[in-house]
Amino acid sequence: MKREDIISQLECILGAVLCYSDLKDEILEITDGSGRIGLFIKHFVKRLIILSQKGKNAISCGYKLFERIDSELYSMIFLEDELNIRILYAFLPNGEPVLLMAFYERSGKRHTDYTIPKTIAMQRLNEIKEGQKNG
Amino acid sequence: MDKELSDILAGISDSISDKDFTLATYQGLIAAEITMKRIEKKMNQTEFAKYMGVTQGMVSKWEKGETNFTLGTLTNIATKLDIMMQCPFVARPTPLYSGGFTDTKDNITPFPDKWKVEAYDNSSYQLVDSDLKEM
Repeated sequence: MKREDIISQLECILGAVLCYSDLKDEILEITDGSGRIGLFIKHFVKRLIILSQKGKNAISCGYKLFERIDSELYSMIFLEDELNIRILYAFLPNGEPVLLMAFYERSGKRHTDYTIPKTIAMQRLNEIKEGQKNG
Repeated sequence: MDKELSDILAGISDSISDKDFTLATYQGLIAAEITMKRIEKKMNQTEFAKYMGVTQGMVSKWEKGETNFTLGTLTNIATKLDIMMQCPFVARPTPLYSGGFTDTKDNITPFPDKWKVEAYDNSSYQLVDSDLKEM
């Protein structure tokens, strides 16, 4: 089984999910060298499937998976295997989810301070919306 | 600025093998399906474990993608939760090479001679009165 085949399958299942271009480097920075990329992908795919199926209602699947952090922004939470990662996302006007930024939550399972990540995520969201407006 | 999810997945999974990527993806897919079914039934893990006839610890492992399922277990889960199953093995479509059938690029079985068709040339063909009368 080739990776491209699996990614194509996932694309069919998930539909359109956009990502901010820096997301890849942020995820690699958090997981690289730790040998945990396989674990991350497993948990990431699980959340992506739930997000694509449930949309804004994904937060009903529990605070250990998703939480709403303000009127526009949501957080994908990775607590398993001590990954302690958060991925902030939002929804575009057409309802498509867009993944905006990833960061390592140093405080682990305790309450996350989203102040700085929220500011960055909102800037990125506006950038994407603006880019889409301008074609 | 924005990227497709497939680019991100291909980028972050660069350091692991196709086999590990496939395994992680399927673990995530199964974990997502079971979690969503439990949420749809409005059950916590303990209630769901009772419903499924297993321990809460087992449900937790299912939802974290930590179980190496046997086909029997997957069939039991799918039956109980009314989840459709399909064979994970799918024949790869083979490219068609001119001049014969092929199962691999190097193993071409030529078409039988009687199947060969001369190239059709209609340059010398003109409608004559007899054709028109038949029409």
